[in-house]
Amino acid sequence: MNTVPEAILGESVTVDSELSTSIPHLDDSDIKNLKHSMLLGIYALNATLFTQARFEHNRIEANRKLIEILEKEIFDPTRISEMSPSDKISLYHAVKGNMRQSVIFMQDLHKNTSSSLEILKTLETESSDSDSEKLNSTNNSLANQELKKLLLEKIAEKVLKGK
Amino acid sequence: MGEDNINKLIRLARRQINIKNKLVENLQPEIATRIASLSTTDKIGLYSGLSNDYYSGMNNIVKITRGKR
Repeated sequence: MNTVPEAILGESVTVDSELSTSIPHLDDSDIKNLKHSMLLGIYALNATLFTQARFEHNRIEANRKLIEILEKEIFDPTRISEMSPSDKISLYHAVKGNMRQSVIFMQDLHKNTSSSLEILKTLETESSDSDSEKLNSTNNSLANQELKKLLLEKIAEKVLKGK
Repeated sequence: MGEDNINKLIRLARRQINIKNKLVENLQPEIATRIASLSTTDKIGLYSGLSNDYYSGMNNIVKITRGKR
């Protein structure tokens, strides 16, 4: 058992020395392998999600067709007038919910599009920043070369004068 | 969590996805042919359910495409 000085932690704490030795030691190659396998796992997960997105697309395409058939059947004015009051109320609730969902979807889409635009803007700014940094560093190195050349000329002059 | 564990979970999820996808693919045409014979109440119920499903599918696609989970 080791005692950590009170001045460090504010109170005296005892640390089990066996605990620190029981943690397995990971060397660089272990960490590299771990990172590699985690990366592969993440890629596999993303591939599954994109497959799911394709399935979702097919599903909602088919759903759209079913909804169109139902809308033709339900929204016919003669049929609405023939509906019972409870059916009319259910239809009203369904349409209201549908409209709300479409508005929420459009708002989310707008949010996503604007944040994507923000990302593009940030990337553009970062890219132009890095371009100007590159230019500055090139200018600096050119200025340094000029200075070095000038200094060498001055030294050569002094040496020649000295002779 | 290493690759092996993630892949095991992904395989399980994929199996579920494929089973349900086949079920949906088989059911959708059958529902389409039976719509005319449904009662008005059932038609409204189906319409409500399908509309909800439609928007949840659209939202899922947007989320996956954006990489936001």
